Amino acid sequence: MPIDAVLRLARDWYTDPRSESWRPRSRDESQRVLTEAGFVGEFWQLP
Amino acid sequence: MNSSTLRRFIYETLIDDGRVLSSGEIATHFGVSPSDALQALREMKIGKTILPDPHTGELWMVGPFSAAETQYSIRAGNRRWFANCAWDMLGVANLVGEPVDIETQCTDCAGPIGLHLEPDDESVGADLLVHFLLPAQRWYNDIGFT
Repeated sequence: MPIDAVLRLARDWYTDPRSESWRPRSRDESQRVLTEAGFVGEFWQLP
Repeated sequence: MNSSTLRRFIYETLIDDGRVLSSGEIATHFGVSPSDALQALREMKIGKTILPDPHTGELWMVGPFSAAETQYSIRAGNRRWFANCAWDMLGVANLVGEPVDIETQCTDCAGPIGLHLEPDDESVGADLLVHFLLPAQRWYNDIGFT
């Protein structure tokens, strides 16, 4: 994948864990992050 | 000490001071025994974010940071961090929230790669590709390998 796409993914994927409101994402939430960053298709399907 | 306060302490120290805490430091900070600190790390179980070393119990991965030195180096001022992979090195840059200099190498030709990234940059400014070896279905089967 182009590195700029991975940059966009990294920004959406890694939210600030120092925040009191931080929590782990569900599988579906993580899949949505991938999809919205342009990572679509079978290769990018989480278990 | 609960999981949330422990998580925040780990990340605050890592990002602000540029260093990974030992279980001894965690124990001292929270006024618990070292074995209780190691137990707390084992019991965090917050997804794949904070993983203790399977052999020592010490912090191993503090996603997206690596506790061990890797080929993915990120610097801001006099602080230096390591990431687990190319995706994570960009995640580190994002969490640090300051201008960073990234040093890594091409996994194909081993050529050096140097990048400078500002917090609001929308482009890395280089024509590079990131290779994902495994499909997402298999990422968490062996996170160390991934």
